[in-house]
Amino acid sequence: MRASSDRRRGNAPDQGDDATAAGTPSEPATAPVTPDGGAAGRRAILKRRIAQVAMHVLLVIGALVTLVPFLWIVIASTHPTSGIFSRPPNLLPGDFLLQNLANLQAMTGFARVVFNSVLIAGAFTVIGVVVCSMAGYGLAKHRFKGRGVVLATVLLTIMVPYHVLTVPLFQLMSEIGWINTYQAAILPFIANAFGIFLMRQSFLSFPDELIEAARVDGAGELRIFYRIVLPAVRPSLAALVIWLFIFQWNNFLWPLLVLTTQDMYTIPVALSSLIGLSRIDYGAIMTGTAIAVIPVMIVFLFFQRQFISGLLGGSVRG
Amino acid sequence: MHRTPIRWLVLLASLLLLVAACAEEEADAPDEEAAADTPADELEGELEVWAWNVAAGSLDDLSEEFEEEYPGVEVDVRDIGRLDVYDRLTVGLEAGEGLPDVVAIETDRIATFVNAHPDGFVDLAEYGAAELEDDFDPAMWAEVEGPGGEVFAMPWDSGPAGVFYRTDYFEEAGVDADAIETWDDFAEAGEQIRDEVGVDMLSVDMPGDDAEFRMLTQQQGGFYFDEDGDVAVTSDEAVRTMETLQDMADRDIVSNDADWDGLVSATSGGDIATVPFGVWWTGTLEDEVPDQSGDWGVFELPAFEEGGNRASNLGGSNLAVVADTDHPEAGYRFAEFTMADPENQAFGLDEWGLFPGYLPAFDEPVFSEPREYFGDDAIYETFAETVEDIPPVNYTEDFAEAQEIMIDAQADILLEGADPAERLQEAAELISNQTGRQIAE
Amino acid sequence: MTLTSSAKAMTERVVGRRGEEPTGSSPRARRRVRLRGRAGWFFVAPAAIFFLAFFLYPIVATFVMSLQTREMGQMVFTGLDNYERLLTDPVFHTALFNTLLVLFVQVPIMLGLALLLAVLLNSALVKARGGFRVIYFLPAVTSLVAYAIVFRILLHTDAGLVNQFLGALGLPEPDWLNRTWSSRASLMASITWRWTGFNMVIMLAGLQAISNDLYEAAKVDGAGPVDRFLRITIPMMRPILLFAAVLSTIGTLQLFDEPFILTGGGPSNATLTLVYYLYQQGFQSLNFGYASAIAWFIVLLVAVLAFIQFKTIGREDPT
Repeated sequence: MRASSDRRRGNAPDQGDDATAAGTPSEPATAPVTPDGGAAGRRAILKRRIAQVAMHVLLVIGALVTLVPFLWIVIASTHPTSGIFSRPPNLLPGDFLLQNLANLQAMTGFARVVFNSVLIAGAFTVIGVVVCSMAGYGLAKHRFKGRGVVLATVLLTIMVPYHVLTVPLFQLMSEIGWINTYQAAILPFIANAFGIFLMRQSFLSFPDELIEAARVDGAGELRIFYRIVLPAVRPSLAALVIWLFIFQWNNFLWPLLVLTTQDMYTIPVALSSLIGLSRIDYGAIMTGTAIAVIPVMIVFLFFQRQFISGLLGGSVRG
Repeated sequence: MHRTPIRWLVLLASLLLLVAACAEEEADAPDEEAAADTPADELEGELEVWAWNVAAGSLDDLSEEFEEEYPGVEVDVRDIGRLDVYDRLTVGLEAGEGLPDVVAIETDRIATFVNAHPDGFVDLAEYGAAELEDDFDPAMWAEVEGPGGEVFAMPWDSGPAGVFYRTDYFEEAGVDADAIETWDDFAEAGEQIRDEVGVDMLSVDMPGDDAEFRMLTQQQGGFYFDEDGDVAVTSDEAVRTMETLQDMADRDIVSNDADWDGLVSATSGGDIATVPFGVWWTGTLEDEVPDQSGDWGVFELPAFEEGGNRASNLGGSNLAVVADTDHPEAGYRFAEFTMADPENQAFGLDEWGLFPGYLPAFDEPVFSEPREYFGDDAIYETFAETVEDIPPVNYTEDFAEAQEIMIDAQADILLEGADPAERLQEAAELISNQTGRQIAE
Repeated sequence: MTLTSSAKAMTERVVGRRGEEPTGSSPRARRRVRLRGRAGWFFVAPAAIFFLAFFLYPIVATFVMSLQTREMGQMVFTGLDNYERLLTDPVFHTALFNTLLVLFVQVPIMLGLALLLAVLLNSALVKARGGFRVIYFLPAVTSLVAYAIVFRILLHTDAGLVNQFLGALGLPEPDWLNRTWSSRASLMASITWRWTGFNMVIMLAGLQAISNDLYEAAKVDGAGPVDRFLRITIPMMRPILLFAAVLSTIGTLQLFDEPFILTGGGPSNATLTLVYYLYQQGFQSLNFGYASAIAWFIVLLVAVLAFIQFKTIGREDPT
C-alpha cells in the first residue's frame, strides 16, 4: 500500500513541482521556445536541480537551528552539574551519563516515572482519539438540535485558562476520591477541545455525497464513520494522536496537583521536583529531559508515516 | 437557523450569572481543638509532610528518630519542588481538600498564606509553642506570630548574610578582604579585581530577582514595607541601596546572570569573585562546585558607612501544621522535635546547610568546626555572630505583588539607567495602587 | 468513484457549503433526518458526557469566583469590582499589550514558517523527509525546564553562543534577555522554536488531504504554480489553516510556560503575558477572584478573535 502510493507520488506532480517551477515564472517570456526540445528539457532539469539544492540548503539550516539547543541538552546529560555550567561551555560529551542516570533513579524513581508517563499518555491518547474523532465527525457532518451549543462549549473549554479551573476541578476529584489515581490524570481532559476541533476541520472537507451514497446503500451511521470517513482522514488522525500524546506528555500543573506520591509522578512532575532550594542537580534534569524525548519520538516516527501514505485513502478514490 | 457560538456563550454566561447569584458559600467553622498534652507513646496517626529538596531531606533524616520516640506516629515526607509545594498548597487551601498535615513555607510567603487562610493553619500556641519564643531568633518569630499571639508556624532556618569570596582572586589582585569595610571599599576592590584578574566582582539577576536589593536594604533597617505595613520603598535606605547597586553596575563590575542556573553557572565558570548571599549558599558551593574547594572564604557584609551595621538576612523558612489535619498534636510534636531541638538543628545545618533560627543550637560543635571547603575556617561562627544584629522586617501578605514591582524598578535602574529616587517613587505609587497600602512618609 | 476534477467545484464544496439540510418533503425523508439528528448526538455524546462530568462545575465555579473578593479570609460577593479593576490596572494593560504583540507578530511568522516547511517536506523533491520532520518536531517534546536553561545559556549577553557567533561575524551583540524589545524577540524566538514543528505536522496532514487530481486538472487548464498554490492549496487548506490559526490564537492568549520559565516576565514586565499575570494574582498573591476575572476577560477576547477567524479564514458561519 505504502509503496504503491509512494510510486504514485513519484509520477504525479505534487507541490514539489510548484516550488520548483515557482522560481521560474517568467521563463516563457524571456526564453523563446526553441525547436530544440532537448535544450529546453535540459534547462528545465537544471532549474529543477537548482531548486532542489536550494530547498535542501534551506531545510538543513533550519534543522541545525532547531537541533542545536537539543544537542546541547544531550551533551549536558553526560556532564555533572558543574560541567554543564563551565565557561567556555563543554561541547563534547563527558562520562557522567550513567552517574546522572543513577542519581535520577535514586531521587525520583525514574524508571517508574517513565512507565507512569507512558501509561497515562497512552491511555489518554487511545480514549481521546475515539472521543475526539467521534465528536468532530458529529459536529462536521451531522446537523442536529443543539449543535451550536456543543461547538460553543467545546470552544469554551479551551478558552478558559486552565490555571483557574484547577481549583474547582481539584475539589471535584477530591469529592469522588480520585486524588492520586491514574484516572484523575487521564480522564478530565479527554474531551480535548483542540482534538475535537482538529477532527471537525478535517471532516469538513470530506464530500457529503459519499456519505449520502453509503446511506443509500444501507450502511449504518457507525459503519459509515469508521469504514468510510475515518480512513480518509488518516493524516489528521495521525496528527491527532501526536497532539494528544504530547499534550498529556508535557502536561504539568494538573498531574502535579492530582498525583501526590512519587510512585505516581509523570516525567514533568518528577523533573520539577528536582528544583528545590539552593541545590539543584541540573545534570539529572538534563538526562531526564533527553530520555523523556525517546518515547514521544517513537510515537511520532510510527505515526508520521501516515503523512507519506495519506492522499485521501483508497475508499475515496474508489 | 444561524445560531452562532457567540450567542450561546452569551446565553451560557447569563445562566452562570444566575447560578452565581444563588450560590452562597458557607464558611467552615474552624475545628475546635482542645490543647492537649498526650504522652509520646499514646499519640497516633500518619503525618504527610511536604517540603522541597534540602528541607525534605533533613526532615526525612530526622523522622526515623521521631518515630522511635513516638511509636504510634508515622511520618511520610514528600520531596516536592519548591514552587510545586506552593502550587499544591494554594490549590489545596483554596479547595479545602488534598492538604498535607505539615508543610514547609518560606518566610516571605507565610504572611500571604495566613492572611488568605487565617483558619488554614493550626495555632501552635494552643500546644505550647508560645513558651518557645525566647529560644528563637526574634526577627523570625515576629514573622510567624499573629496579632492575637497565635503561632502559625515554627521558625526553621534563616539566611544570615555574608560575602562569599574567591580567596585566590583576591590574592592575585592584591586585595585584602579584611580591609573591605564599606560598600565603597567593596566596589573599589571590585575594580581592582576586574583589572587584575579579569572577572566581575558579583553577579546580579538584574531583570529577574532583587535579592541584593532586599538584603542591602534590610541591612540598613529598611524594606518594602515599614513596621506599620506602609510602602517604604522610597525610604533613604531603599534609595541608597539602589544607588549603590547602580554605582557598581556603572563601574562595570557586575555580571548579569538570569535565574539560579545563571548564578551557579557564573560561579562554577569562575566568572565572579564574590557572592554576597545568605548562609545557605555554603551548601550550594560544597555540593555543586566541588572543584573550587579551598578557594572560598567569607567576610561580613560591608557597611554603608564606616562602623555601620554589617548584618542582614536573605531567605529562611518555617514549618506549619495545616488545620485540615486529623492529628494536630502529632503535627505539633513533629515540628517541635525537628525545629526546637539543638542537636537536630545542628544536624540540619551540617548536613543540609539549614541555618537554625533556634538559638540554643548555636552552642553545638558544628558552629566552631572548621570547614574544609572554606580553607578550614569556621564560617558558621562568623554568620552566627551577626544574627542578633539583623534588623527585623515586615513581609506582609503583599510581598509577592510588591516584589514583582520592585524587580521591574531594579531592571530599569540597573539596565536602563533610570534615576533611583524617581523610579522608586513610581514603584511606591504602583505598589500602593495595587495593594491599597499607604506610602510611608 | 473518482472525485470530480473541477477544482472550483471541490473548493466550493469544502468551504462554501452552507450545509442546507437535504430536507425532502416525504415522511420517509423527514424520518431519516430525525434519525440522523440522533446519530449526531450519538457521535458527540461521549465528549458531551466528559464535558458535563468534568468541566461544567469548574467553569461555573470560576465565573462565580470572578465576582468575589477575599475579605478577612472569606470570599465575599463584590459584583463587578474585579472587572472594573481590569480597566484601571496598568500591569494588566502591559500584559494585554505584550500578549497581543506576540499574537500579531509571532503567530503569523510561525504559521508562515510552518506552512513553508510543510510544503517543502511534502515535496517529492526533498530527500530524507522523515528525518527532517523528526528534527523539526523535536522541540515540541523537550521539557521546558531544560529548554529554558539552554536558551539562557545560548542567549547570555557575554558568554552566550549566539552573541559569540554574532561577534565573530562582526555583528552587534544584543543584550538579549535584558532589554525590552530584545527580550520580547527572544521570547518570540523561543516560542517559534518550540511550536513551528508542531504546526508543520498539522499542516502536513492538511496538505495530504488534497487530491492530486485537482492539481492535474488545474495544470490542464493552464494554471501556473503560484496560481495553483493560491487557488487550490490555500482554499483546500482553509479548514486546517483555520484550525492552526485558532489554536495559535488560543495558545498565545494563554501563553504562560515560556515567559514564566525563560524570562520571568521581565525585564520590567516586557514579557509579562495575560496568563502569567493571572498566575501571579492567583497563585502568588492568592487573589483568585481577580485571577478569575482575568480568565473571563481572556475568554471574551478569544471568543471575539475566534469569531473573526471563523469568518475570514474559515469563511464559514460557525454554527
